[in-house]
Parts: sequence; C-alpha cells; structure tokens
Amino acid sequence: MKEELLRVAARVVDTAASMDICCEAFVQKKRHTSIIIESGKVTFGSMDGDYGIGIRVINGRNTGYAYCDERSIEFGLKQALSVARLSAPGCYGFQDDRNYAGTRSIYDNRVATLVTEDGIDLARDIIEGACYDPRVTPSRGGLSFGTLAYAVANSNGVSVYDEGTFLSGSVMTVLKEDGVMVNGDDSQVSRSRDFSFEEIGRKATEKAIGQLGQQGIETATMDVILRPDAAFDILSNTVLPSLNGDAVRKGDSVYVDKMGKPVAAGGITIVDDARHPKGLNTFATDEEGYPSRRTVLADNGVLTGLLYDTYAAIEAGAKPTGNAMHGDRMETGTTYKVSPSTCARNFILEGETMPEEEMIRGVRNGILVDNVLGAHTANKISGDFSVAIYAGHAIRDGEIAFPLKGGMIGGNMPAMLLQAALADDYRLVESGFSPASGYIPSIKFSGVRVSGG
Amino acid sequence: MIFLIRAVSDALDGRADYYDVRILHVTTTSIEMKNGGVTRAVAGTESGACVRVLFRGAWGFASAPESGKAALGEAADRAARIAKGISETVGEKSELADVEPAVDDVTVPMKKNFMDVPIGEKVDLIRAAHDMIKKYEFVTNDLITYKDTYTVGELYSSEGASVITRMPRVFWQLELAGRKDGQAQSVRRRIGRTSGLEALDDDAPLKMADSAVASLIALLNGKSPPSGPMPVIADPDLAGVFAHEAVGHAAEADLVATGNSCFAGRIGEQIGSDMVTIRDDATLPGMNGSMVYDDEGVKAGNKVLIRNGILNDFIQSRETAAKLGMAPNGGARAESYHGRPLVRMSNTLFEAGDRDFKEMIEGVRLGVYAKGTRGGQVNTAQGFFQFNAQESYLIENGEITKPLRDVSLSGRTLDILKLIDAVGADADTAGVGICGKGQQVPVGQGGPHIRISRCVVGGR
Repeated sequence: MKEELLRVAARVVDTAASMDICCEAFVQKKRHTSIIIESGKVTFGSMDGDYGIGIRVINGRNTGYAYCDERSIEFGLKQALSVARLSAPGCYGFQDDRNYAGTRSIYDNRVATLVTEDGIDLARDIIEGACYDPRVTPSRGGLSFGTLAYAVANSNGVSVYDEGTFLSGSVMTVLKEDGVMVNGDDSQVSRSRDFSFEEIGRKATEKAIGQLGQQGIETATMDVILRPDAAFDILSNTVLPSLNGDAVRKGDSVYVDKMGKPVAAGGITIVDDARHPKGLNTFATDEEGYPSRRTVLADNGVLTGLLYDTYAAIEAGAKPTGNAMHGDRMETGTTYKVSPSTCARNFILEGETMPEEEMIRGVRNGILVDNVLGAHTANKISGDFSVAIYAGHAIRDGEIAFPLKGGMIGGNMPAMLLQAALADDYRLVESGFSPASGYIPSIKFSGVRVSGG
Repeated sequence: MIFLIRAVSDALDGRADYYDVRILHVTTTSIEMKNGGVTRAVAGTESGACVRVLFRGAWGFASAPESGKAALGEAADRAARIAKGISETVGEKSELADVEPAVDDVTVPMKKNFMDVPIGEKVDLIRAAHDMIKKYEFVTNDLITYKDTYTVGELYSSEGASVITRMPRVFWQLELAGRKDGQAQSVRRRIGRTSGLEALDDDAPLKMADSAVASLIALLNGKSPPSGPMPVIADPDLAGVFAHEAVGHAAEADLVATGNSCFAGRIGEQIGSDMVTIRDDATLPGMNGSMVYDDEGVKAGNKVLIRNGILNDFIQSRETAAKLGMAPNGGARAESYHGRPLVRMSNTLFEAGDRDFKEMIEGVRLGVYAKGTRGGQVNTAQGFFQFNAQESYLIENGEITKPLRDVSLSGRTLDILKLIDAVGADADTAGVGICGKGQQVPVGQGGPHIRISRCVVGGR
C-alpha cells in the first residue's frame, strides 16, 4: 500500500512539474466493514471503501483544488488550474517541513486482520451484553472496522505516507415498561482492539434501566456536570471553531484579542495533541504532510496558541500547527474530495482532576448530563448554545436523585469554561459535524441555566 | 447493461434470493465564495456502483469505485459472502414486500441546463448576492455556497426492475455573520430545487440576501429569550422543520419496526389535535426532496402520515413494509453508491388550516414567535426533539414587541401535537434541508404558521 500511494502522489507532482505547475497531492484510501444490529438481531453487513486523489495547485497568486482518480491525473491538474483562475488572489504556499522523526499513526494488526465473520461475532457480543435484562431490546446499533491510508507529496519535495486502523461499536437499547419507553445508548471508538463489545451492550442496558422513573425539573440556575460525549458535542460546536487562527484573524471568533488572557479555569490546560497515543486523529502528519505536534492552546487557563493550516499561517504570519484536514462541513472524517482547512485533531483538556463520584458529591442541586440534542445549532462565533437534554439525571445533596424527563441547558461555553472543573473519566469522543476528535473527561460547570420540561 | 447484470449473476452463483445493482454517474460543480473571493470551486464527474444481496433473510452490501464488469463481479462476491455469513446466525429473516418490478426511463427536466453554463458564469451569478451585501458595515463575513449535481442513476434487480433516472439538483446557500456592540450573530438562507438553473431565476438569491440582512439586524439587536414553557408561534419554515424533526423521523418505518419510535403501534390513534395533517410527499415537481423512484426502484409516493390528528401511515422501504404488513410507498433512499438505501423523508409538509396570522398572535399574552431554523435533532424512541430558530421575537399582550436571539425549542412530540391550537392558512413549501441519518440526503419541508400553546423555550 505504502509504495502504491507514494508512487501515485509522486506521479501527480511529476506530471505537474512537466506542466510547470506547483502542486500538492493528497492520495487517500479508506476501507471499512460494517455490521448492523436491528431489533436484537444481526441483519446487515457491508464493505465499502474510497480511493482518490485531491490536487491543489498554486499558480502565481492563485490557488485551486480538484479531485480525480489514478487514471485522470492530468485532467485533475487541469481542473485545479482552471479553478485557480477564479480564486481570490493571495499569498499561497505549500509546506516544506520534513522533520518526521517520532510520531507514527496507530496501526493495530488485530484490527487490520478482522474479517466479516469476526465482525458478526463481535456484533453478537454487543447483543448478548445488552440482553442480560429480558425487558430490554438492543434495537439499533452495530460496529465498524477498517483502515485509512494516505500519502502527501508536493513541489517542495515533501513525500510522506501513513496508515492507521479504526474500530467502533455502538448500540441503543429500548426498554418498555408499563407503557413507558426509555432508551440507553453506549458507544466506543478506538484505534486499537482495546475495548469490550459485550460491555457496550451491557452499559447501554444499564443506562436504559437508569432512565426508568423520569421526572421533570424546575427552571433554574444550577451546577451542571457534562459527561464527555455531551461536553465534546457542545465544545466542538463552540470553542473549537473559535480556536481556529483564521477565524480569530477575521473576527469570527470569541477569542479575538484574548491572547495572554484567561479563557479557561486556572487549573485547566487546553491542548491539541496530534501525537496522542490513543488519538483518533493521531498520524505522522496532518493532511498537508506537516509533521504532527502538540500545540498548547491555553496554559493553565491562559490563551497561548491557535490552530493553523499552511495557508492560514502564511496569511497570519504564524507557523502552521499541523492542523490541515480535508474536512467537509457537517461530516465526520476526511475526504480527498474537498480542500484542506484548519481543524482541531485531538482536543484534550488537562489539569487537576477528581473522581466523578467526588464531583457529584460536591453538588447540592444540579444535573448530570450524558448526551444532548442539537449542539450543532450553537452560535459558532459567540459560543452561545441551547440544547435539549437527551439523557441525564438530577443531583440532590451530592447524590444522583432521578432521571430527567426533557429539559434544556443553555449558556455561553467560552464563558462557562472559566468556571470549569475536570473529572478523571477520560474518554475518546468524536464530533459528529467535523473530523475533530477529543480525549476529555466529565466537566463541571457552575451557574448554568436549565429550562424545565 | 445485460452483460453487467450477467457478470453480477455469475459472481453470485446462486448465493442470492434477491439482488439489486445500482450504478451512478454524478456530475458536479461546487463553488464556495467567501467575502466575494472564490475559496473553493470543484467541477468533476464520478462513477460508482453497488450490489445488495438478500440471502436466506440476511443482507450483504458492497460498493465498487467503478461500474466495470470486473469491479461489479467482485462487489457482488463480497456482498454474497457477507450475506451468507450473517444468514448463518440470523434469527429474524428480512423479506421484501411485493412490488411490480418497474421498467422505466425518467428524465427530470431542466429549463436552464446548468451543464451548458461555464463555471465562470456560475461564479458571476452567485457573486451578485455578495455585491448586494457588502455595503452593510455590520456584516463581517458572507459565505455563499453553490452546488449543482446531475445524477444518472441505473437500478437493476433480480426481479426484473430496470429504472434509469436523470435528476438535476441546484443548491444555493448564504451564511452571513455580523457584529454589533460586541454581539456576534449569524443567519443562513437556502434555495434547493430538483431542477435546472431556473431555481435561481427572478433574483431569488438577491431576495434571500435581503431577508438575511433583515434577520441579522434583528438578531444583532436581540435580547436573551425568556426560558421555560410558554406559547410559541412557528413560521412556515419552522413549522416544516417541526413536521420533519418531530413527526417525520418518528414515522420512518425502520425506526418503528425496531421499537425505536414513539409512533409504534399507534396507527389509527388520535395523537394530535384535529388541526394537524402532516404528509411526506415526494411527488411535488421541483421541491428539494422530490424524486420519481426511490433507490429500490419503487415509485415514490405521497404519504399522509397524520390526517386530522390521527396517525395514518409510515414512510416505508420494501423491507419495513413486509415487516409491518403495510404497503410500500417508495421511501428508501441512499446518499450515494457507498451506502444501502435507508428509510428517509422526501418533502415533509404541515398542511395549512384556516387561521389568520394576526389573529394567532393576538391570542398570546407572553410567548415567542420563532422563524426559520439552524437545525434540530430528535430522540424518536422517547419522542422528544430540540430545534433552534434563526430569528425570534417576544410576543407580549398579543403584539410582537422585541427581537430575541439564540432561541431553542424542545418538547415531546406526542404532547406537542395535542397542544397545537391554531394552524394558519398561509403555507409556504420552500424549506430546504439536508437530513443526516448516517447518510445525508436533500429534503424539502414547509407549512403554515402554527401555534403551540405550551413549548419549552431554552435561553441562558
């Protein structure tokens, strides 16, 4: 695979050179197998993949992007060139840092060698795990595994390849009792075979049982603990886009003029670490071939850094941070079909932590929220959001009191971060609406507006 | 095409009780313009195919990056292997409801063929909206997205279906960001049609830009909304989103059949006030979610989901129709050749009633008038939803008083349907959505003004 992808990338750059064009090639090959669970049964399986080339050219003060396949490289180059004529003139350049010592992607042979039959067995593990309580049906879920490989080459002599593995599983269980229907959701995503599928099912069922006896909650201001999925869902639609250097430069960010000023509670350090040993976006480089690195965005709460791809860095007079991703808006994952732009890779909150139980014990009147609905509707410039509670519990006098029926939480996430505290239950989380991923724990916020149902 | 089908059939070698092959050729132009500069422009064509196999009640699916004989044969073999593997463990067997295999060749017409228009002209066409907006100082950024797609789809099945469709689509979107007194806000407008470039005729983008600027001014002057339960009046666009999020998703028969919908087992039941009639209609020419055949080769229909408050029908694939013992209605759609057809909406519409908008407002002492949407999400199993309005106003003593910002609404579908106490006569069906359910498909939506007597409004 390595030789093949590098050869294709080199061919694009060589062809461009013969046409006297400055170019960057991104060759991407994805493959995955999925198994689907419906109504407690394995019902469907699929194998899918994608293989293509993204070509970016610079012609004088113009730049253009197009995609093609192996048989249409020359056509792709011409397309990119014709598109470049329409572009806004500017200062463009390709990156030339080739210092790739250190980081490699995460490639687990135990994932790479999985076959369909293994997938069916693992899906049955999810079902078995969920069915320990006969009232519960694992109604929808499944798993997916596969590999992603890419090569980048450009006219500055960059030529780099990496590949990695992915594995994920999820299920939603449904519990019906006395005419009331509740559900429980659980999921895991990883680069390695390091989690139990049976446990996904079991946890989903535990969560469904925990939702029996839902009660409404009063409209009030209170402490809110967001578990990792809920927290990242909101963070990735508010804080993450605002940490994009280009957004700050253009005034589209709440962090304009905030460099050196507090943006999080004093004990919290915000990092984007593309080398993290578990990270969903850990690769040797970003998708422009820039070496992966760890960028400290806020050091003990004080804003110290922003994220840049190469074009944005040139415009801002900054250094790239290895955050170029071929991400399409509203999609998880990356694709050669769109040009690269700045995106957080592995977003991490570090600092002093405490066990979640202790955090709950410290709350007199508040709520604990597992998942939310509608985080993508947040105001990405101001960081204001208002979401519905998908699954959560009331906390009374330091103890979990009852599951919540409906209700909403709202606030300004950048402001809320100034009063945040971290638990220690770190977990890998994905953003449903960009390629960004995170490794974060539950977070406690104080004085949050909760609207009762 | 006979030779391709034969290649698939040979590769399957008896390992399929049913199979279908979809072959797609997609031609796209996509342009993104930020503050008048083209930041993305891609024109390209792409082909691919997929094979779906049903064997002993189990499904297998595989895609191929090209539609050649060898690639299709390989995909068929992979799909068959998966189906066979699953069939050995499957408990409940999937079946397909009977349909007369369609043999048809359909071309959805374009008055202005966008394939004949050079990309430079399209850039000029979308630049017009930017030129109009740039005079407003409080607008800090404008982002215009344009995409046209021409999809030639072929579907062949082992039952003898042979359906060729040629479908044009035009999508235009404007996003404005503005700033005033430290407030930052954004608004969005969309045009989406299954038609040619005539979708942008009559200065449609300029009219949209005008209304977006007006919205932005209101938002920048907006106050934080009150929070808690109160009466809400939704405009036609938001009423359409309500029909889509709260009702349409719960009426997707795959969710119903897997115990994942609050509508399960309630056909024939009065679930809403008798003013509520909601349908999902794929047959309206030109609307964003319209289609002639679905991706199983079934004629796409008009499904009346709720009639006068009574739950009447679900959106079906052939598989869910068999499972629920209902009639197929052509609701299975796939985003591309990378995925299997799933039960999806087309154009979801709240039917107009007879009330006057002014009269609806007059009945409210303290409430919110919410317009448009930034999107929403739903939990279909328990039947609750969240959606965010683009623009909102406070209603005090029967009058619209001041603009609000960042208003979200949430509620339980089965409660809210009963709490709809006024439905306007003024329906609009221009709503454009992109619906995600693992795969993204274009949808349409619309309705009249509706009034909900009690809905949770989330503020901060």
